[in-house]
Parts: sequence; C-alpha cells; structure tokens
Amino acid sequence: MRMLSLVRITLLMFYRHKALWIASIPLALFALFLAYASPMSPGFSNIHGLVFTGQVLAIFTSLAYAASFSNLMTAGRRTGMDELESTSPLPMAAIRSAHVLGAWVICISSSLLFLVLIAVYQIFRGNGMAMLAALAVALVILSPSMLIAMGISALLGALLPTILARILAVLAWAWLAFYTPLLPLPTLNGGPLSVIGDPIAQGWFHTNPMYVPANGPFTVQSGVISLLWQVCIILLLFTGANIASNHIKARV
Amino acid sequence: MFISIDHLTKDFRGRPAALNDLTVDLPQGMIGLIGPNGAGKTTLMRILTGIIKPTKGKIFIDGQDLSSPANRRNLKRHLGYLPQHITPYENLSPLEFLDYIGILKMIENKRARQEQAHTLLEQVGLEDVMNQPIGGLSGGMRRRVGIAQALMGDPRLLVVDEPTAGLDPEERMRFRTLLAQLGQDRTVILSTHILDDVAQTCPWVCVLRCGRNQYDGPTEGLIHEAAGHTWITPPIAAPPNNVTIINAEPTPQGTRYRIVTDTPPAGSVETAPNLEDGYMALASER
Amino acid sequence: MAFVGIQLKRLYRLALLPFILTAGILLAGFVLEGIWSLSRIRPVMMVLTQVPVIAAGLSTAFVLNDDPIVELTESTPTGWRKVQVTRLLIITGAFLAAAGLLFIGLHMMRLWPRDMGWVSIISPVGSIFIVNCLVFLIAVFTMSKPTSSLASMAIWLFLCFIWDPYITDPVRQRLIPLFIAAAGAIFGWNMCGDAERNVAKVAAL
Repeated sequence: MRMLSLVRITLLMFYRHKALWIASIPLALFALFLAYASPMSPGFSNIHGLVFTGQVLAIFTSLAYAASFSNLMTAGRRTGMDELESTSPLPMAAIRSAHVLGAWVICISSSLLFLVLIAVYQIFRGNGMAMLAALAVALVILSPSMLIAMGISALLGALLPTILARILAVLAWAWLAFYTPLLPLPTLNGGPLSVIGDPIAQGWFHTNPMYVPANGPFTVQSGVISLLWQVCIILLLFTGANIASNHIKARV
Repeated sequence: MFISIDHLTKDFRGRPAALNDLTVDLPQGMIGLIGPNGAGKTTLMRILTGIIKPTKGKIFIDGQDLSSPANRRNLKRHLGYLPQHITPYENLSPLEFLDYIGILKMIENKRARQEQAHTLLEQVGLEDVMNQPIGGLSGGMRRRVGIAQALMGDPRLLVVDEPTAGLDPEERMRFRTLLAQLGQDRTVILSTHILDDVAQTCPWVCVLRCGRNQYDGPTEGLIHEAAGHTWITPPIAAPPNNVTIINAEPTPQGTRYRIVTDTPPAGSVETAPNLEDGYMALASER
Repeated sequence: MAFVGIQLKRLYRLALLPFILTAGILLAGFVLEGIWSLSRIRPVMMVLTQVPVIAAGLSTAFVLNDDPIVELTESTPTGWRKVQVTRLLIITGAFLAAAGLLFIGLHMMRLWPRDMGWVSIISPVGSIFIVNCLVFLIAVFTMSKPTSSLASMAIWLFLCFIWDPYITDPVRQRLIPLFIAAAGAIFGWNMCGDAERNVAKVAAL
C-alpha cells in the first residue's frame, strides 16, 4: 500500500514533467515511421506488425532513453532531496524504485499509445486479439528493453561524469541493439540473451526475428529464458546504480 | 529525547576531519548549534539524522546506540529534518509534496497525511498557495514548504539547518514562535548563523569550532563569557585596535563601536552583554 | 577574447573529447584494416562514424543547460545569450574540426562509408552542425538537460535512419536540413535574448 502511494506520487511528478512528454512523443513517432518504412516491416495490419513495431520502438526509443536517464539516481544530490529522502525510515532502494517506475510509465506511455492505436485499427479489421497482443508486446518486449536502457544510463550516471555516462550508455545500447552477429565480435543478438525481444517475438508470437538465430529458430522456452534474463539484468543494473549512488553519497 | 555524543570523529578523504573527537550531551528542548563556517555543524546533523555514518565514536539517543541499523531506522520514524539546501520537487504543489514526505515518513492513512499537510501549511502561512506548483513559488515560500515538511509526522527530534535563511521578518518571527512551542516537549536542534534566533528560542547552546566542542551549556552561560568585557565606545574617528568589534553605529560626531575587550579605549561605557558578545568573546579566547 | 578564454578554460575537457574520439576511431580503423576485409570493416565504420555526431549533440545539451548563474549573468553587460552562443561555438567548432580530421583520415584509408570523394566531408560536418544548432534551440526553449539530450538523440535518429537512407546525394542530403537548422538556431538566438524569460525559467520570481 505504501509502495503504491509512493508510486502514485512519483507518477504525478513525472506526469507533470512536460519536457519528457514533448520529447518522448515525437521519438515514438519516429520509431513508428521507421517500423512502417523498414523493408522488413510486415505492415500494421496483423499481429506480426504489432510485434515488429514493438521491437522497433524498443530499439529506437531506448536509444534516446539511454542518453537521458543518467541522473535518474543522482538528481536528488543537486536539489538536496536525496539528503531529505535518506532520513526516511523507508529504504532508499524503495524510494528510488518508485522513481524508476514513475519514469518508466511516462516513457512507455507514448509508445503504448501508438501500439494501442494500431491495435484499434486491427480490431476494426476483425482482429479481436489485437488489443491483448499490443499490451503483451508492451509488457514483454518494450518494457524490458526500455528498463535495460534506463538501467544502463542510471548505473553509468552514478559511476561516471554525466556527459561520459550519456555517451557510453548510448554506445552500450547501440551495441546491444544493432551489433550484427555477422561480425566476428561478441554480440547478444542472434541468441536467447538478446535484449531487443527477438527470442520472445519468435518464440511466443511466431514472427520473424530481426537477427537470424545462430542455433535454429527461437522456441517458447527461449522466450522464457530471454524474459528471465532481462529481468535479471534490470535488477542488477538498478541495484548496482543504487549501491553506486549510495556509495558516492557517503563520500560527499 | 536526550542525545549523548561520545568521541565522534568524521573524516572525509583528502580533507581535514569534519568532526574531531566530539563529545557532548544535549538535553531535551531547543538547542542552538552555532559555529563558524566549516565547524562541522552540517556533518554533525547529517550523522544525527542517519544520512552518513561517523568514522569513529557513537551517538546515543535516549540510550539507543545509533550505530545499530534498527535503532537508526527507529529514530527516522520520529525525525524531522530540514537540510540547508533543498529544492522541493517543483512540479508538485506544497500539499502534494507534504503528502509525499508523509508517505516517506510512513504515515499510512492518506486522510491523516492530508489533514496534517493542511494544518502545517496553514501554520507556515502557505494556505493560499497550497495547490500551486512549488516551481512558481518565491524563494521564501519554498523555504516555508521545507519547514512544513520537516514537521510532518509530529517528529520528536527536529533537526533544522539554517531554517530562517530567506524568510521575511514576519515569517521569521512566526517560525521562531513555532519552534519555541515545539521545543517544549521534544528536542529541536537549530543550526544557524543568526544568533538572535538562538538567543530568542534556545535555552541551551552548543558551539562547534574545527570539529570540536568549544562550549555546551545554557545560553546564559555563553552570554556570561562576555560579562565585564563588553563596552560601548564614545564616538571616535577610527576603529579601536586589538579589540573585537561587534557592531558600529555612525553618529554625526563619529562612529560608536560595541566592542568586546579587556582593555577598552578611554571613555568607553560597560554594557550588558548579549549572545553575540558572548560568542565573540569565546571565539577570541581560542 | 578573455571571455572566450574563460569559457574555453571551463569547457576544454569537452572540447578535447571529439579529438579523443577521432583518434580512437582512426586507431580502430588502422588496426582493423590489417585484420579484416573491407566489407567487414565498413559496417563497423558506419557505426563508429556516427559516434562523434551523437557525442556532439549530447555534449551541446550538457554545456547549454543547468548553469546556476543565469540570473547573475543577465545582470552583467555580457548577458546570457553571449555566454550560450560562445559555448555553442566552442563545442561545435571542436566537433567540426575533429569530424574533418576523422573524414580525412578514413577517406585516405578508404574506410569512410559511402565515400563519394571529398564532397562526402559535408556528411559528418553537416550532421554535427545540424544536430548542434537544433539542440541549441531546444536547450534555449526547455532549459532542461534531459529533454535536450533526448532531443539530440531524436534529431540524430531522424538524420541517420529516416533522412540519410532516402536522400543519398550528399549535397541535397545536408543542404535542406542545414537551412532548417540554421533557421532554428536564429530563432533560438532571438529567444535567448529575452532576459526576463531566461531568468523566469530558472529562478523563483
């Protein structure tokens, strides 16, 4: 109940962050255009289209979020709010989780809005499952990717100078999202540890993956492994960011 | 709450010790914490509020050792804190911000939080703007939001760092009265450079210098340090040498100085000391 | 000159960043040239040559926001606009110079992606100019570091994934966005001259 109240009020904070909306809506629109214009695009008229759009949104919007959330754990240091929040009997990890959730809800909202619009279009064309699929795509493909990008940004932001953290976070996400398995360098793409939703897209929604799987098509199990793996990374990234942030604060 | 600080030291890497073997007992009631910049006041308050941990030494609050995480957590339930520099979330209204602080202080009942927030905002004179975004409020109003948040949850220990900085005279007096009322049945630690605020509200005072305890005891005792050493000079052209000048009052005949010294210039008249005189007398003793 | 000097002193680390990136990318190109075939290096270079553009946008967003002394600066004869424009010029100048060097190095190693001769220099130089001008506008408009950073990424995404793949002629590819960016920068320059707006954005009035 307490956590819910905390999330409610942090949501209000981020909801009123006009600048975040101003930037995230055109960003989602760009990604939508890319999803439509891509030669790989299956169009918007079926579940495959929804999944593909979800993946494109996950790749491109996350690239921008990787650049913008490097102060997610450290902004309070400048305003003194960190000091005040530290005097609460609630653990800082809980307070920061609420902030992460607040930011995530706003970031995903614009992408979700477009997925829902595509789903409505599909419902009118007779696809009754479209809305459910849109929500599922947002939950299992879009959300983990976004949270990973935000987590990378937050962790690097807690460890490094902001500008360096932003650039490195973008590069880290670009490597995770774009690095092709065709080059002889390690990459997560093409395997079950990919963070852009390929194993889930193919394993659960039976669509074509963006990167050809190295060891045969992804299965339902690959999807489960992929999701669990992404949840682990998210937890690790934010726990690391929280610890790094506390450690730096203790030195101030 | 009775606070006992026992041989407390805090070192920050590459800097001189912020607190250096500080030992002091602070009774219940209003306590003024004064000292020059860099004396260690803010560090002491951060340790008292559980934000940072000491390098050495212990703090006991009502006999409970603060080095235990459980005791620290328990203290935080009864703590109100106003940091020196705080910018409350600008896109929340004062009412919403206090609600947020109420949640952080684990006040479960939403209605109780809202009622408390209303009452406190009225007490600090923000009832007309309680629903406007904090970003649109003046600096003094934001400071009052900070004061109100420190009082959320009816804390038994209140730690306030420079609370009256930026307040207009009317609000300063109102806040002083409020603090004095609160200090009747709880411990309030007031850190400030405005000695008048301490003189008006704190029966007990602690003076820190270079991380050490230079004085702790009744405020009257600190004032007494300057008894027999406080003088008003006749109007003179140049300031007297080798004395501590407290203030200067220009007159048509020259400037009249209030000084603390053992050897006043000829014609000086002894006067009753105040807290500023006592503080300066103590400072010149070191 | 003293004014530029003091800004340069404050920003010199960031002004060095593009040259460090350029050196790193050239070194990567030099090393890879010895081990991989050209067809393998090109996709890597396509990614690496975008790094300075991303860094330019993020650096500009970084230097143009969160200055604690806007109000103080507006109270001096210099004014906030001159400070912002000087910072923009320093960062943009450094990134443009480094982009030029990067192009020359990779062009001579025959590693520049989609190389159409010396005219292709307009591609990295133009990208940086466009991104920085538009980030300047956004920074003046929002005075928010996260939003300016997000916007810098959005502008780069637009250029890299929507505009450039479809408009392949290097001159046409850069000319239209360059005009739009310059217009945006002039608009931002005008907006930045409004002292009251600048102060109201950052200080409680």
